[in-house]
Amino acid sequence: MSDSAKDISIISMAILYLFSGGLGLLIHILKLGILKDFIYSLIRMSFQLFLGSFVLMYIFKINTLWIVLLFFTLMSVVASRTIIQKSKIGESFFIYPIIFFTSFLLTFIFQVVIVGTDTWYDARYFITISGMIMGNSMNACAVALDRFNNDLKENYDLIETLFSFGASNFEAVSIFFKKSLRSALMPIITNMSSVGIVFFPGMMTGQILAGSNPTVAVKYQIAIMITIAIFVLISTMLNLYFNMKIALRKFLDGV
Amino acid sequence: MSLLEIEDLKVKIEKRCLVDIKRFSFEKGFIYTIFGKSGAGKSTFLKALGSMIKYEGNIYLNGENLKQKYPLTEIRKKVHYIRQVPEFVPGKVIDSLKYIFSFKSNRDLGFDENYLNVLIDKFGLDQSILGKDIKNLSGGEKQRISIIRSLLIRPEFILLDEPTSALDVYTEDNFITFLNGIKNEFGVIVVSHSVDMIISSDIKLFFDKCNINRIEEDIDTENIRKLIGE
Repeated sequence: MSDSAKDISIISMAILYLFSGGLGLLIHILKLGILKDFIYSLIRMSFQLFLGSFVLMYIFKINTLWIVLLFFTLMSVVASRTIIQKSKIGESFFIYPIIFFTSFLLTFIFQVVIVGTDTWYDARYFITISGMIMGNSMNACAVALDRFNNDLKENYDLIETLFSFGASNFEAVSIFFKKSLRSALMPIITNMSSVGIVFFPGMMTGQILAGSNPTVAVKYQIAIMITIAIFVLISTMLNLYFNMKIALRKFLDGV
Repeated sequence: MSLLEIEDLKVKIEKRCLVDIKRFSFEKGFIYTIFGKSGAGKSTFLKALGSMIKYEGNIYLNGENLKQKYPLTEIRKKVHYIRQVPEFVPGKVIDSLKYIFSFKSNRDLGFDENYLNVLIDKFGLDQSILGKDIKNLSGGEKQRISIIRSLLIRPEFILLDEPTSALDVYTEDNFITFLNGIKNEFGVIVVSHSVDMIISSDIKLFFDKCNINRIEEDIDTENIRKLIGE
């Protein structure tokens, strides 16, 4: 548990940006057509992360309930918006409360029950853990919603048939509901089986670099992966459920 | 005796009135065929009758107002709409048929294997079809399995939307014979533009201007063609 990770000097950072310049040049020479995207993303990444680090430093210093809640709310709104944009769904207002409450509850449990910090809203844990949970599951949630809506559109005739046989709303779409939920969960389950051999996740690597005992880092990693899986399952299930309610409104109001 | 009555039935889609029928009743024991120009609203009428779409007015089954008396899941089985192109849950025929009985509203009904065998014989199918994959069935086989599936839930009326459009003439004749064989057990209402189907039905209904009009029984092929606009 010795000293924290060695700082990267300004000169080293400059070298890294020089390398990025080389990468950009290569993209240009090879005519890959993504030079603009690369430059734009590089600038955004640098700006967002540095700004983020200042914001985090500020929040960690103040560390009051209100500032943590405010920042957490902002994060959950951004995560929800990302899901909405990626999944291209129409009516989507239900996603905001679902992401907010599920991630809040799970982060709370993680912090109070699993880690057991002194204050439940300690920013150093609450912001980073909730950020990891939401960040690692946005994609899964979006993919599941997108797939579900496509399936509903493509299988309208089958769903209509099942309704004619007395299916309830859920029964009529349960095949597709389960399929989408599986597709959301599979990547994290696959990750679980390869972690530690094929790749070392950022959180664990970061903790080890920062001087944590690898055993502690591993325990955190296991805890976060299980939490993410639970979050993906619960939030996707809820999202799919409300999405289904809206999508099937015309069947629901049939008579 | 099953009796299906409609009263002030209206269906509007995007404010356009597609169905507007004051009063009509269907009885078990006859094959009713509704025909008319395409796009006139025949299928819409059939879907409304099967409670698959929103409608105004009332539908009574044996004197009971369906909307007031039963939940949608029950109504749709009693007066049961059957699509033109049958759709199945993928997999083996037997599993696809059983799937319907996993629904809460069908639990009391139960999957009756003996009745299934009776129907399979009645339709001139072989028992081995139950083990086949749905996707390997021919159009005619799918059609018959689809009707068998519908009869398994014991509806009072079946509403068939263009049931013979995908069948060849020979299979169509068989199908009509079959409908005649079951019309005393189930009420049969068909929407069709097939002249054979219309000619062989007991009661012929011309759908025009949002309404159904009964046509004399001995109408000939030529006059039917004229009415349909062929």
